[in-house]
Amino acid sequence: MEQEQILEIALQIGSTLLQYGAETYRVEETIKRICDSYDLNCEPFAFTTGVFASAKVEKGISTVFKRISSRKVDLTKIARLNALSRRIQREKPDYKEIKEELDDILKCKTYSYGAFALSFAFTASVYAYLFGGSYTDAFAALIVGILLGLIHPVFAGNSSLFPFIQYFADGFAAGILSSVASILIPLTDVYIVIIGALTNLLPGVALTNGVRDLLHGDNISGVTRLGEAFIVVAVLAFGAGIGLSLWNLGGV
Amino acid sequence: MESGRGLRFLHFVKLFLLAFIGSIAPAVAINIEKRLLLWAGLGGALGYCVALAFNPYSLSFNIAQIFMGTVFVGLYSELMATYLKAPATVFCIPGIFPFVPGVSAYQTVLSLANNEFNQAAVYGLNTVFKSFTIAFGIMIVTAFFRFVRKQNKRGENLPSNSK
Repeated sequence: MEQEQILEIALQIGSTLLQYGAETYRVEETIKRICDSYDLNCEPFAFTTGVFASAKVEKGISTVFKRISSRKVDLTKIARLNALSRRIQREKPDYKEIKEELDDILKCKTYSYGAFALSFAFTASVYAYLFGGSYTDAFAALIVGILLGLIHPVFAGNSSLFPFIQYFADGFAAGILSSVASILIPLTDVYIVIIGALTNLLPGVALTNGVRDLLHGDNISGVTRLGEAFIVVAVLAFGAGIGLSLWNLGGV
Repeated sequence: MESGRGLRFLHFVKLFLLAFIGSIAPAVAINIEKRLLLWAGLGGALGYCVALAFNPYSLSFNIAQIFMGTVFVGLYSELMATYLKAPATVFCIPGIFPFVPGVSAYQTVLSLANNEFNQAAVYGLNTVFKSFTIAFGIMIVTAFFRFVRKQNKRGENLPSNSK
């Protein structure tokens, strides 16, 4: 493999890892490991919205950069990319083979629409109960969760919408659905139901990962992730609040 | 006395199952591999029960409980990562899900929006401390395992380096 190709492969694997929710240090480590295994001296730099990698090649210094526009956690892709990077280190397969494997990973199948909606429903219901809700609250959250899980992919899959609008739509839907559910199902607390429904969308893991980056010394990505998490929470709360109050206006 | 112990046992079983579902369901939403799904859920449920064991009477955990729970989840993830050949994150993210302070972050913003600044400060600090504790708990375990692995690798490489 040529040196530029090694750098390209390493960067592509690194940026895909970053796009699907791997930690910053893991991305940098993976790029460095792949380059090291081909005796290429490489200096990677990753932050939340892009990856740089610079390496000394025969013709001088080569730098590549990849911008990441959308991020979404996908554990299958992380696991398979990790396995691929280890295989590259061990076996050093040729360029075409790695490219094919990468394409295969990008196309790997996800859970069905229905399973996704059910996962939202169970998360909402369990956390509504754990948060101090009654069984009726948990039941209302289950219904709201299913509907939210059916609505969520419609907005999240659409890359032409800004993230802000996606989160706002999610929050708004959670607000409206919860208030409808609390009126239709007697003895439910709308506050608990909405918290259960929002547990699916709140960036608790992003918050923790941000702190983890900070503790690790990756200050730029740490602060960026925390900022992103804060914006997401604010927008979700904004959407949910407007959803709730709109329903109250219409219902009263 | 007997019935009290039985009730407490039932309480644990119920919360174990709830935490199990509460770890599996978010894991499906972030597309975990099918073969790892139940293992990730087990980690989350056990971690939750470890935290619960320190104070079974309250469902809102304090910092020490969260720390013990996340250290357990971290250990479980690292061990399972070696055993099942998958990166530790795959078990970590579902495992810490029952602890993550998403709801208190939401309550912080909600109180800010309602002009309740004292409440917002309480919830905000709660969020910050909880996320720091979780990150720190996971971090300590990861750092320990890294250290051990590096030591082992150095030991293996010694003869080839010294020639």
